[in-house]
Amino acid sequence: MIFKRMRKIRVRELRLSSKLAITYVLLTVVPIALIGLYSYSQYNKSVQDPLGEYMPKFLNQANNDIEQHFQRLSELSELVWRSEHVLSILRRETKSDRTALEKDAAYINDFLSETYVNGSNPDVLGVYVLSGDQLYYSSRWVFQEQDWKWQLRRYGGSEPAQWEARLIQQGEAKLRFANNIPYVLIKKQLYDTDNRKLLGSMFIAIDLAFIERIFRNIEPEDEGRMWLMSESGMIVYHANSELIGTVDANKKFYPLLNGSFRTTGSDNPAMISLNQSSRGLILAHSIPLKKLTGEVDAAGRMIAFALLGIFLLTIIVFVYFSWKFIQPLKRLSGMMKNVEMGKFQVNYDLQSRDEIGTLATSLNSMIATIRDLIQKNYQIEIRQKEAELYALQSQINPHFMYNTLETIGMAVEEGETEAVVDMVTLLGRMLRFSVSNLSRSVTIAEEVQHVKDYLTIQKFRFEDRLAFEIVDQRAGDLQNLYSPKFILQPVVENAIKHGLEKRRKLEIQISIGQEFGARSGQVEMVFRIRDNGPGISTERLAELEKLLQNESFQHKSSQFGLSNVNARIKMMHGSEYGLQLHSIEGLGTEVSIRIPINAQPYENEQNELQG
Amino acid sequence: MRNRLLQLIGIIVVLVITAACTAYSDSGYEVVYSLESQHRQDAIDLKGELHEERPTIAMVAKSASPYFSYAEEGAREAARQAGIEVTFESPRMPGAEQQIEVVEQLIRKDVDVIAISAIDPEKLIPMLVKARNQGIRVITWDSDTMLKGREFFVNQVETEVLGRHLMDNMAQAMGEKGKFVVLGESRTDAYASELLKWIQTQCDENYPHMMLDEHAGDIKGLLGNRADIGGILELHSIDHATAAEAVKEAGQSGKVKVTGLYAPSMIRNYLHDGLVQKATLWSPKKLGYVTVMLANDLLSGRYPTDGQDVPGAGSIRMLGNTVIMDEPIDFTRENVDQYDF
Repeated sequence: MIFKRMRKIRVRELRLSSKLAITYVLLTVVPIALIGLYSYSQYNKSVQDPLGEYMPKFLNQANNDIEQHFQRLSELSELVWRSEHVLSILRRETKSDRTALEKDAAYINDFLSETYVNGSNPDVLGVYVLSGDQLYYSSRWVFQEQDWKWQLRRYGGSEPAQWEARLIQQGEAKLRFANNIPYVLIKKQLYDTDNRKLLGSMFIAIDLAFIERIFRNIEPEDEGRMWLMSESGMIVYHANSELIGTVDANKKFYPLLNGSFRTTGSDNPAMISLNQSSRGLILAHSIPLKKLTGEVDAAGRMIAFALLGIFLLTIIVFVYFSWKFIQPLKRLSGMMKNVEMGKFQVNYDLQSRDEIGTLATSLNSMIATIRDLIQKNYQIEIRQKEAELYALQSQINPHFMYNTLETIGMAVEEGETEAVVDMVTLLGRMLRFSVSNLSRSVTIAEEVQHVKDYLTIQKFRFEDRLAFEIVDQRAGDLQNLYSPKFILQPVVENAIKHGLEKRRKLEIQISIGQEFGARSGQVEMVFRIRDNGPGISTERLAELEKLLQNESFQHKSSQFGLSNVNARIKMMHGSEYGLQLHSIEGLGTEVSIRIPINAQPYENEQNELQG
Repeated sequence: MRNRLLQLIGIIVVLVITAACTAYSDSGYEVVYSLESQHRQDAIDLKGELHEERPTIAMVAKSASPYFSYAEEGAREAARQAGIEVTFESPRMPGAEQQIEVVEQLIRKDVDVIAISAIDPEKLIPMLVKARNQGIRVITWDSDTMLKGREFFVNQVETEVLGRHLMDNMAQAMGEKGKFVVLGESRTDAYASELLKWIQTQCDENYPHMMLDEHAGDIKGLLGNRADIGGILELHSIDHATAAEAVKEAGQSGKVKVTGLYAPSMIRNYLHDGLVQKATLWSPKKLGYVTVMLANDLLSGRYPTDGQDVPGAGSIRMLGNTVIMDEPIDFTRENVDQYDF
């Protein structure tokens, strides 16, 4: 439980590349390895098992052949009964004299030689008859051992009647022929069935070459090892003749005696097949698994190398792709860190069009947008402040103050008290407008009142040279509508400044109306300030219009007032609003100020910006 | 982190390898295919049970004669071999009635097999049928009964072969010409009359100069009265050389040839003296032995088959439901000493 939780946390904590690696291993390496191992073992089995199945059957056949062969050879002992004379000698109980004995022995030896050794059966190497004290024999080869007669007599004892032929192995008899030819002794009792008496025993030495022939039938090439052993494990015959007579030490560990099994414990694993005949002879066949599965192993090795190659290849491909995949992400995250620290001047350059490329592109454009927005707000704020500063400066223009105060002084000298009072009142209201209200917007009524106050003061100063008219074409309540502060006075100031330079009498008309604006697509508020001044030359007009289009704010311009108003409006309301100039040289100029209809003051907006 | 990942992969790889390896290396030997069957084991068990029962086989002889003693000897040997009980019964007086009594007693004892050398092929039938109805297996040996009395008959020698062989021996002794008589209880003994039939057949077919003469009455009288009788073939009793004695008494030793069914131990001296030219018989020991072995086989559910090898007795033949044990053995002056029955 705890382990599981820990592991969960670990997996979650792992890096993406690690997760990919684990996924890859789990999905590719492990299944391929498992399938490879499984199919290899199955393949091995499919090669070995059929052999394990048919080999015992072959062995059974061969073992039967061997048994039959032994059976046929043991039946040779019956030939003794054909000779009446031999029988009469064997049946004789009373001891004859030596001459007669030797005569009898010579007769029997001749008989044995004729009937068996030189008889029709080439497998007979020799035949020995033990009867009482006598040993009759005839053989192709002599035994190496000097005391072979004595050795052989051990088997002649007066044992109980035994009808079946018995095999005496070379290893058991401990006798060897002069040429070391592998043999086995078939012992058959000579039993007189008529008299019910044991006459003696016959030993027929059999050449085991016929087993070699039977082995060759099963295994034409001497690849595996085949041997025939007794129940006790003593080897009767072995393809390797040196092992004849020795004991198969593993025999007692064999799990079965009819069938096949694999030895897995030893250094050299083998497939061993066995068959035990009804008489107990065990025929064995052993073949090293290596030999059996040599081709499979080669194929297995090839497959293993191929799999290894595929592993390496896929790992390389995997590493490459994960690197390609992880690398952009790493760069992205580095970039994000930079952005986090406030460095917006980054550009993530990624060519690919995949998801990461798209992400990077969006990120790029987002950062650019953020950068632009910051820039814009920053600029607007600065221009706003500058414009406002200028407006504030203009409102308490010392020149204007000086002129006004001088006019007031002159009026006092001339004793025009009423005019002085009016002028002082107007001047006071103008100053209050400028000082008291720090907000950016004012009602249109207040703005109009302010410009009206300004013109009235100027009218006191210039008397007949200046005439003005304010027309409210809307004929509605201007108290509820708002406009940016201080947009009319700079225009009027500009008109008076240029107009009075060239004209004897200057007329100014200000109209307030609502029109449908082609650029904003909405009904908007329009102020028009018309004068009959000198007008502006076409080149100059184009220059000025270009200046106004620019939106930016020029300090040192001669048209500082106009441009400031235009910039402030555009900053606050967008480029579709602002100033327009219409002029005919020599006739006059009309300045249109377009603002949106605004029923709300701009305080909120200003606060936001300030904040 | 990377180390931990490597550890994880390492663990998986180790698990896979160990899983793959355990399939191979649990014990030293992995059996691929087995032909080992339970049959042999079962057979041994079955045999063991039968041994415990020790079935009893009753041999019934015709009489207490040396011939049957030798048969008993062979039967006892077979009993030792097969590990069974054998009782050997012979009627106190020769005769079918006495033999019936013996069989009746054996039925009461509830033996497993009755092997009988029947004195009379017909009279014994009811009692043998009774025994069979009680679940006792009945076979005959030496002398047969009617078919329904027994399962099979162990015949020492095929009767036709023996009859013709005896005729051949007689002809050889007489130089294939002259008259001869057959001594035997042909009217009472079914076996002897069967033999006689084949002797007659062989004589008629192969020996035109020989004649089987009818004889009546005493053999001594016959030898005295009939000078034309050149040979005597005796089937009378294998334990008594009646004909030879008669020839000896009549002083016609060598002149009148004698052959017949004789036991070698009894006829040995007559052969050496030249009173008997050739004796013929089979081994009664072997007959007793084979009968018991085949009776034991029968209890194990094995019926004798043609060419079957009876351990310790060689192969047998089958003619219908009759077992032919052997070929006739001839005894002459030369070889008679080899035989001890």
